[in-house]
Amino acid sequence: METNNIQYISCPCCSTQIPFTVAGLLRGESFMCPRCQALISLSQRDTSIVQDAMKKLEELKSSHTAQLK
Amino acid sequence: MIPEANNRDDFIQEDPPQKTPKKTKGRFFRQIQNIESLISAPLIAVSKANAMMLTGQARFLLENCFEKSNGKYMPILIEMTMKRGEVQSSNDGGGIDIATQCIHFQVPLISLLPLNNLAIDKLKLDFGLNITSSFSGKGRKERKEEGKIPGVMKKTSILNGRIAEDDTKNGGKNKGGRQTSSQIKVSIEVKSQDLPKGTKTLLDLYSKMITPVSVSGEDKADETT
Repeated sequence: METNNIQYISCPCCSTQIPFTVAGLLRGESFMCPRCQALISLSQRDTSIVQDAMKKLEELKSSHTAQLK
Repeated sequence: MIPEANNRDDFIQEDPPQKTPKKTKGRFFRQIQNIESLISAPLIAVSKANAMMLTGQARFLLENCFEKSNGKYMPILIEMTMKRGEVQSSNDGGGIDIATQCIHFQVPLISLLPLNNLAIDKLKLDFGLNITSSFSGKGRKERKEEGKIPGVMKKTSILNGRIAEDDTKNGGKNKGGRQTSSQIKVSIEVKSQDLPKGTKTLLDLYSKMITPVSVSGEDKADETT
């Protein structure tokens, strides 16, 4: 699963962009805001929703790759 | 097997009719075509492939990142937790305690997914073109009512050609050892674009709307350490 791309989310406290990876969030990792040192993580309750969406996105991607070949 | 030929025209004529789709495709590229069609064909193919992927991506977004309620698409929200240290004065007086404050906030699922993956990342295509024929002529005078400058002659030039054979073996020279002057090199490079403007606006709006919500009383007790 290609979920290691670095993405950014706005910090709810200081609006600084916090770098994160979906793979890291799904593993339960926390990501630190470079400005206010707040730690953000994915709530366990919604992990399955993100996991399902990522799985479907990867399926879509591989189906497109297969069509292009 | 491709038959041996002394020149390119013999090569075309002696090529037997192919039935398999792979060989037919090769034969298509050896045919004489308008140069514009030859250059634009790979670009059209890339844009078609990108359009196909974007349509799939849009459908994916609607089906998985939004839920329809009362005819409106509402974003699926994902709960996230934020923990940060807070300096507090200790109860026994004089000292300082660092308490961890826990805040829950929600972000739309669309802002967590790596969506810009679904596009052709990079395409680099180099090929040679043999110009086989050219036509240059003057067209009719532009009419005044068409909104163009009257009296200016419209010049048309048409180039026809075909994909050149790989000349890396003979260093760009033909069999006589002379440089092939009618051959032009075409280099096409396609790079992936950013997300569509509409999707970016949506993501920007969602990012600006993220506001922290304090944890309810019962949660607060066990989450504050």
